[in-house]
Amino acid sequence: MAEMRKKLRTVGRALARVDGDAKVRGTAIFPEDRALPPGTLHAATVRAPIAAARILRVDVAPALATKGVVRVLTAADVRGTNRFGLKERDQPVLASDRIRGASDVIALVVATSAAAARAAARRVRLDLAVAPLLEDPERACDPDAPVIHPERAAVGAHPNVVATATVRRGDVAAARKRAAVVIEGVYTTRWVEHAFLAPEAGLAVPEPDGGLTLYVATQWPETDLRQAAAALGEPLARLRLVQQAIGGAFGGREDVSLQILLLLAARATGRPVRMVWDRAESIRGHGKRHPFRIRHTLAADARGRFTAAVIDVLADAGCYASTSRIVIANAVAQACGPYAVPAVDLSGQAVYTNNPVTGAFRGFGVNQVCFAMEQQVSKVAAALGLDPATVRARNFVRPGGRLATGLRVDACAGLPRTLTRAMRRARRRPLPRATAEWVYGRGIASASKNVGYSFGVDDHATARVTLSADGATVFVGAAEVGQGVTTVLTQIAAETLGLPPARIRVVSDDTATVPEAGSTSASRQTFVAGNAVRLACARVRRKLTTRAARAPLPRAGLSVTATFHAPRTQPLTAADARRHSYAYTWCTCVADVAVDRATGVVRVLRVVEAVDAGRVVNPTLLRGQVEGGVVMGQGYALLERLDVRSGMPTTRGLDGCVLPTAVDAVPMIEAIAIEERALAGPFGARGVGEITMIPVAPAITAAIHAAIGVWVDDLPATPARILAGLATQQCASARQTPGNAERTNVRARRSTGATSPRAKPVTKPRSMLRRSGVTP
Amino acid sequence: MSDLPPLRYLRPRDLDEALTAIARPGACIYAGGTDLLVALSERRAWTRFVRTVVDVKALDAARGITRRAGELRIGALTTAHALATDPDVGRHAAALAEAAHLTSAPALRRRGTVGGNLVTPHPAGDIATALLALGAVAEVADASGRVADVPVAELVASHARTWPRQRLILAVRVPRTRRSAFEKVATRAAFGRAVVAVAVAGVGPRLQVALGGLGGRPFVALDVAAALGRRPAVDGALASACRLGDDGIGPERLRLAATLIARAAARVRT
Amino acid sequence: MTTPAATLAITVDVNGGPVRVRVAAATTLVDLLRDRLALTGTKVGCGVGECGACTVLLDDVPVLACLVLAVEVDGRRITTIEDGRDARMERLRAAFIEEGALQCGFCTPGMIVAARALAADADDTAIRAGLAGNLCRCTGYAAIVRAVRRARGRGPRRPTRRTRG
Repeated sequence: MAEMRKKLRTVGRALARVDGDAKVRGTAIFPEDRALPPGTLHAATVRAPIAAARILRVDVAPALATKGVVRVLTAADVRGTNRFGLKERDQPVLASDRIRGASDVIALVVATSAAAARAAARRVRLDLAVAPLLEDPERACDPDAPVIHPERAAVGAHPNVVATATVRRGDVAAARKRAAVVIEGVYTTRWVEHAFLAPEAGLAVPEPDGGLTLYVATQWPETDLRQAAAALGEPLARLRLVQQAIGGAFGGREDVSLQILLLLAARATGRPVRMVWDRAESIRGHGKRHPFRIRHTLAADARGRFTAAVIDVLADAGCYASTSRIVIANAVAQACGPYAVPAVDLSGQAVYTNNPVTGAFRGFGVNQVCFAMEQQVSKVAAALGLDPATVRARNFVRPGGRLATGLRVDACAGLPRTLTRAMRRARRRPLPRATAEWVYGRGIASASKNVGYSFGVDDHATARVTLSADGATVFVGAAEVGQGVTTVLTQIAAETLGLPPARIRVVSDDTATVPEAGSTSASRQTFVAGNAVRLACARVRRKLTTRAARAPLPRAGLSVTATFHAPRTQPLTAADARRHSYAYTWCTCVADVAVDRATGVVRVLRVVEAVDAGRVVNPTLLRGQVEGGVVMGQGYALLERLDVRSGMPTTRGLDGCVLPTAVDAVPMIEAIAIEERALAGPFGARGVGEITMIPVAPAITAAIHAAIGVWVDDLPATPARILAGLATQQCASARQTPGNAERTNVRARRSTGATSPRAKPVTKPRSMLRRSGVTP
Repeated sequence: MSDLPPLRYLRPRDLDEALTAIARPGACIYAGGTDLLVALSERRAWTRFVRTVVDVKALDAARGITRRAGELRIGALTTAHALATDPDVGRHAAALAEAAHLTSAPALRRRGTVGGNLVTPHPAGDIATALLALGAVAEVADASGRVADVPVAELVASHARTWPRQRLILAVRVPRTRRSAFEKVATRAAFGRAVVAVAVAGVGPRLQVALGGLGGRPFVALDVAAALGRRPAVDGALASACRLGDDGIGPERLRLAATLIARAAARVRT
Repeated sequence: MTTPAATLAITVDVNGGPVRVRVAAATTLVDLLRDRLALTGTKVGCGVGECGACTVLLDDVPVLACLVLAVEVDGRRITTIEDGRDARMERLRAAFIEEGALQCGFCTPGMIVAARALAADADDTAIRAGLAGNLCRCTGYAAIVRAVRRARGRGPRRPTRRTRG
């Protein structure tokens, strides 16, 4: 493999990102930076004031009478289906009869200035009849629960069920009986806001030929337009989307936000229309990470080998389906992480409520189940007195082996290496000695993440390459969301064509000229779009070499289009779950924390993360994904929240989301890349967008337990929860007679309390570590 | 893309002009703007009367930090950044410097003022908490130009937002002490709202304790100060000073407060 | 000024050039920069002082342009990300690219301007404290700290090496 590496000139190099210069000079054009064509109008929404109601009347007269107002649009003005949604078209563009949640828009005001539009929007009068509110997902399937979508055909036992997923394999009951330890736990996680830095903004412009052009920032241009065409009754061919610079996404721009509203307003007025959401509206206007309640039973033999797992997941889908169907399938499919568990009973259900919509968010349902699974694994180790790293290593799926769902995995030789390498690196720096105030702990967690759509979707991308005398232009519709895909594709094209990267131009921003590459999600673009680019470049190169030597290139250049289809997958079904995904990434995270026992304050001192995402195309970008994922995971573990009352988000701004600042963020993050290059990724690369975040939260909670002996099973692990755990611990130790506390849990084969015997320390400190960073 | 309502602007050059200006109907004092502009753009109910912002930043009478016998005079326009970095404040009113350093975020500390922190609870009034423990007194000018001393405790308790608007805080006077400390546990390290904030100051022979984050606004906890050093007594005094269940105050937060009080008191004693 | 004014004519030095403009009293500095002067490098992430994306220098002091009224900056100096004169800002730009200190790039202008206001010898702790008001959701801040250190001239000399397995 060393030889193969030597041959590569561009792939593997820390090429400076191709969009860097514009971004550091402030010349990159985000949607709200776009110069406005003359006559541009401004739109503002009228949103649901409560989360559950019947709409009796919408009085737009006072708004229409406001100075500067041109139109006030309601559902009656929508000519198409007035419905959108990524997987199910269950969300109205403008609500007409009922309000299901905070994101509902009832009217759209279009005016000559943004201030006039907002002022008029405040004057639209709504006559509403308050409807019964469904807040608690646990009650969603009660016989008397309000039905959120009465018009929708029932999927499961109750009309509020969005989707279910089940995997059963092996003899769980028998395996449980044989187990030396059975750990039961209930884990809860909350809503999390993407909090990308740029709120939604856009501009829609009517064209002389009758078309409409949309200037927005999105993760999936073509699907936005397909949804818009159906909802508005527009021919798809008349809609064009020009991608602008994207101020962060993380899954939060996978659903449609303001795209359809802008097109509607531009069509209705025949003039360009701009809309810029403020932060409060951004928080209401896009989906959140699903809150999960996970009931978890994990059984293991005396050596810590897992014999069975019973996992039940309940996800709050909120008031519209968004991607919940796939999120719950993904959560169930990945519920046991990177481990081979011979007998499982895995079930998941996503239900409608009147709460905020939940959808895609970096990790796509895996973060929640990974937190639960890894806590359980750590508890198994603690109950058996085994090293938590050893327990993980003993259970990792082996090449040719099967994951808990029955999926056969061949490309997982890198998995155990993520653990050994992360541990080895972590040990180089000992934990500090406890002080009067701070006690220290080290925790470990491992994770897996599927790359690509999975579950039977044809995962493909198309690229067109035009080679001319000055270089190559690569047309491929992969949305750059900051992760650096444009740079990665530049490197792949340069490598394949044997050209310097400076002579490659990647164009991805215009649906009129660029072939589809699917969504920027599921860590898939390096793999899928990368392969499409590699194929197209290889073919154009072949074409060139078969031409007569020294024959001049045609004036328009030499063009080749190629489509890459990822290996086929199948839907997740209870009977056969053996081919639900085609590629995986692996990761192990080691976290060192300091806990102030008196205040419950936790500081994360250092995180070592080893990732196997195949070949590293660009080490700077990989390191960025690790560092960004670690701090987002830290926020998920300790800080972040989104408060909801009566279905309405009460968090209106970024302060309330409690995002990590530069002072909160882990000061020392060490990234290790394990480059297992099996699989059909371009040059052996897979994808690294999500995996880096996933194991961070359970590594931190394991470290908290190592420090103070408290298991925090509800995220985030706030100081109040830690103090409460310590208080329970004190009560428990006061009640128990010395000597028999530790054994009780194992004998009873159960550990359900907040605290349990201290886990065996993960590492023995040895030596000091040098500076942090990506080093071999 | 800010969303301020229509406003008029006035920038008085001296105290007389300022007092005339703030006496106008619809006038609102404007200094750092870190709270007022947010409240205006979010159209909070109390800002409904505001038609004119009176920018008082040119008032010399409300500027500067002066060391005097026994006290510091701190102009109401002094920013949190200036408090956090001024050597006199660090030496003679350490709790105030520490509170200013821990409040909000760097660019906001460059604009947010002492006067503003006394009339708004955002974020949880760290500076006000320190001033309370230090027993500071505010110099307040009324419409006639008369300047009276008002204890900061009275100012904070009266919720100065609803004050007669014809009064202007010119400065706070802080008794000098080498014995004061501020402790805070916040939701996060910057921008963090105090979950609990504690200031302890030795003014004269006694120690005074002020608490922030527990309830609507910071307050002086006399009984807690009297019980210092005796943990059960401190717990009892805290429990009666804060209403459990108010604003999500649970037993954990009271324990946290007791811990921070003990830590601040220990720093003051040594 | 003794009569309340609804609009005022102001003269501002923006990135070294004098600008004369009449503004409404309710115009914020960030609106002046973005909408009137077409300097869209300064970003609005929240509009209420909670993200730092609109950080500019007002007489060399970092302030949030969403919480400053345009009328207040009459006769003063504003520095934004578009300022091409400053050598230190140019070093920061280069270092941000080299260290991978930006991803989506939306916080980057405010971050670079805030970094410009740090003491030249700021260590990691001081860098983090000085940038605590500038949120970044992509990078985890680590690369930003490295970039600021690098721009200071004492950063790691070696170029980033490629990662090996």
